[in-house]
Amino acid sequence: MVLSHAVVTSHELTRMPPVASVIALVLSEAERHGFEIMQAVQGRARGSAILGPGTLYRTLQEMRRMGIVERGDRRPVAELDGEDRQYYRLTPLGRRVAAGEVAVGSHHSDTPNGAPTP
Amino acid sequence: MTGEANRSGCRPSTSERVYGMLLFSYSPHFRREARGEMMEVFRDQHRYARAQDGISGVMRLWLRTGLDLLTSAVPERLAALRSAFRTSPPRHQPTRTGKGVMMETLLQDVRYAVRTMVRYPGFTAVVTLTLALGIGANTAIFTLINQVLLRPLPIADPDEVVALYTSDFSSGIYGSSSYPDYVDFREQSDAFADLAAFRQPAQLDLASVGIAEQINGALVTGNYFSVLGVTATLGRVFTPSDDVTPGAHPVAVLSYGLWQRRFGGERSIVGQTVNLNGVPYAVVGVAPEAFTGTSLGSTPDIWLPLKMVGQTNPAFQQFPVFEMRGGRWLGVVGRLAPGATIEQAQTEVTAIMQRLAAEYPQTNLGTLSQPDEPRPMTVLPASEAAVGGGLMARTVGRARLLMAIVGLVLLIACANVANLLLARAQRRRQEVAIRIAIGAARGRLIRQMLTESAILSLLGGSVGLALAYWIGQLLVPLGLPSAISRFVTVSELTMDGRIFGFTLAVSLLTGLFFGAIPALHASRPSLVPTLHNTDEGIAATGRRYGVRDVLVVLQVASSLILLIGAGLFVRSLQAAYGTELGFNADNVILTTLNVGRQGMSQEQGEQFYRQLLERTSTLPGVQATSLAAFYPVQSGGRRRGAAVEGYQPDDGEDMELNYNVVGPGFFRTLQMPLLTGRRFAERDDASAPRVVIVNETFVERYWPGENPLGKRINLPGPGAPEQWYEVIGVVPDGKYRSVREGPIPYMYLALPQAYQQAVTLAVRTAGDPTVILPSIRSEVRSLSATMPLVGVRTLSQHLGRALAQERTTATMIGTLGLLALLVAAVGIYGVMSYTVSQRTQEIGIRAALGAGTGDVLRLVVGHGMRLAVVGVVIGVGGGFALSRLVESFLFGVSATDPPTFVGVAALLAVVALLASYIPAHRATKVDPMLALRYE
Repeated sequence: MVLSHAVVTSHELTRMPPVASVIALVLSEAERHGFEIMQAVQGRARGSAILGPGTLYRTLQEMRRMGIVERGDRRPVAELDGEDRQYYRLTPLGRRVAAGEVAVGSHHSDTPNGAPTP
Repeated sequence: MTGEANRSGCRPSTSERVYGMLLFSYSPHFRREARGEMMEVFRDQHRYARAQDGISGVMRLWLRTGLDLLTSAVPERLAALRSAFRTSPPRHQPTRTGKGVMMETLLQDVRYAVRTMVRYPGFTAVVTLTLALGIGANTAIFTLINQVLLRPLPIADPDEVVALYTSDFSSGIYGSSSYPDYVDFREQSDAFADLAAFRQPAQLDLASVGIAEQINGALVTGNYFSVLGVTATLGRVFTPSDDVTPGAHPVAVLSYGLWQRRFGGERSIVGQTVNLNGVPYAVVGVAPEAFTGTSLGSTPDIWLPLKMVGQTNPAFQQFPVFEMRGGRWLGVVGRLAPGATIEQAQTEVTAIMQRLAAEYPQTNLGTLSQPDEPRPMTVLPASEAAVGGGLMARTVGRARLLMAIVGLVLLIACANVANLLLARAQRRRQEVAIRIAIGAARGRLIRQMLTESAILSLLGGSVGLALAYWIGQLLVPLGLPSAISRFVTVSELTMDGRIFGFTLAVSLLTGLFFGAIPALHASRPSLVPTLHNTDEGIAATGRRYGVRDVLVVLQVASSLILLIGAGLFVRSLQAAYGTELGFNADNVILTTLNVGRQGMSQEQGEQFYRQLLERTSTLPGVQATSLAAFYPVQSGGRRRGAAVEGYQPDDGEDMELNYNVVGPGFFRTLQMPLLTGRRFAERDDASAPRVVIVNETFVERYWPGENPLGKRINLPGPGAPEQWYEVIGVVPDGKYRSVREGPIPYMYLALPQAYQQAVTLAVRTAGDPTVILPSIRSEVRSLSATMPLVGVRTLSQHLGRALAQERTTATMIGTLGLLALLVAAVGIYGVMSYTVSQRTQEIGIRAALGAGTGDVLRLVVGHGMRLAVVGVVIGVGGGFALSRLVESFLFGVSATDPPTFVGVAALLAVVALLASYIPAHRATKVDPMLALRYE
């Protein structure tokens, strides 16, 4: 399912929406499913960002296309398990992006994309 | 989806279903990839929001979700389109196609609009909510209409299925048919592939596994299911061989609901027996879940073969019902032959009836109005028949009325939003002027503003779609659209693509409507003054009345129409309350007692009744007390086949007469006078000769000009073809089944001569009757410790229930009308405030030149009142034009009732006066020096 890691160009990386870097950041902490990602992002943005399912999955799709994230194989506990629930994690490239080695959305970001909190 | 939901143990919530539909805003590709996950996330969010903040959390979630849809679905769609365009031309095409540019522009407009909306969240919220209410109300009503009028019946190829009616002798063309006629229609017609007959509803006592229960059955011919194209979910449905010999086919098909409810969905039910009215039936199958019969609102629990009718109801055993051509007791449905039309079917059955009338003139010739014509036949599409023959027109009428009401509400919402947008456009006019000055085309500006209003209305529509469900839930239990609510229960209200499309269309039209006015208006400010930042840009256009004035007129007119509607229903209600009921409803308390359920025998029950009357009549403050089967006004009431001595009914004349069973004190308790003869007395017991009291209309109709006392009426009962009752008294006419009914013949039987297992006790007191209730309760308890008092209410409350429909309609239209009035008042106030601020200088100059407070007041209030008067004139005109819609729902008041029209117009004028007085008063405070210096 994961697309080739090689398709991403640095030009494309700069065109990523800013929220992608926050998503990369929260995924660098742990493998998470959609709702967890949203809550983590919301927590970080202190409510200033409207991250709904639509924006989230558009961004995730784009990030997968670029090889930054991939679907994980974790499953939640049975009673929380919906058939369609999917976990996401960073690819090796994604880790580098999150670590700030590759700039994401840097064309208007004047602060470095924070290093991952372990 | 259902399976999954069942697995996790809960049904998808309405919010989830709505969200699932909204996901269609994304491209198919994206949906394939992400739909399931997005649904999961939304479900999580919904649960979380609900748990955290309850309903307000859900509301906020919807607002956020709406924005998310807009900000992600629109660009996603555009991106999908772009990539579709990109695939054909080479990638590095230097010039862009016209379509590409348009797309780019649209995308820009959308971005701009969304940015603006986010920048003014308060404004966005107010507009969204206003539109959501307007659109939501429309969607809710449309959902009801969709459910009742537009959704196909749950049968195969419903368009081919029709219903046949034989005209009744005296009560309309949608009558039942007789079995011999049915057989002839079936054999002699070519237009039908087949015809089936049914009898419904049949009250059945189901005794099996545990307690007895009354269920609703339908008796059907053996081909019923095959005609409708319905196959069994489990086992089999009936075949013609299940319906041959009367009384010889004890088999049953269960409805899916009964199977689940009473038999736990056990597959082993097929082959078991169930006991109905004391007769064992073998279950042969279970009907599909979707099949609810052919009548909306009357879903049978069980189907039995028609030939078993005598076993379910002993009355049918007394007559050879399958040979009686004059006994009309069957509904008939048919499936049109391939290629046949409903008109051909109509022509054919009419021709068949003509032959039958020639052959059997006794039974098939003549109705009350046309004694020499064959009984008219009517063929209706099954979908119309499902609503009920003749009810369709009424339902459509009410649906139209409701749509008109919610349409007006939406119109007012639109006018209000347009006004808000205009007000904001005034604030933004500098921005617009700059953009025009640096060369923006006017068309582009208009398009951009329209994009903004379209997005706003789509947002409002999304929230409205969610609100519609709750609005619908409010409307249905209110019993509001009675012709509709009969058929719809809340749980049956479901969304489908049609509703989604309707909401989308309404939203877009709405956006166009309220967006076009400000867009056109705001895109042509006078550049120079605006850029100089003075108010003249707008004020100096020289026109005395602006667009906002027009909008205010529209609001006034619309709310006037709604208020007139509300006024008419209130007057109708007053008229209904003021109707001569034929009895005194004050100071009487009622309660229903069921001795049968307490396991009392007839003897014990009679004893209980006697003691209860003795004890309650001696309670302090009690003036009279009595028992009766029921008290007027009771919809439905009771009817019974009767033969009146000395009266020869026309063949097929409706001789089922309305009656009540009442105890000795009945007429005294209700304070009904006696015209002649005597009332029931203690001596009229089961061993005495049977007696009956009739009303005036009864005498006029059956024994005109004769002395009714001593005449007799035969009321056959089960196993007793002759039971003669002697008339002992005559009482005046009253209202029995509805306050709207005209005078009907009516009979009263004596309770001791017609034992009832359940009766209603009425106690008349000198003052407030509820005071006596505890004493009644303790007396009942001392007689039977376990007897519950059911349905305790005063007679006035009881009457009120009969008028509940009128009341709720009046309440709803009234509420909407008041809401509209408020909106209109705010509109007038807003416009007048604005005018005052625009004319500060002018007012200041006038004041400086010596104009007094009165002159200034007159100036401003005069403006407001002129708008109100124009609005009122238009509204009154609209009210007259729409009066046709409400006419049939009113009682005792004309749809053009002058007091209502005048009163409501006056009310609006007063409100307009107040709304313009406040800004006018402020205008008088203008300091001329300040106003002049401002220049």
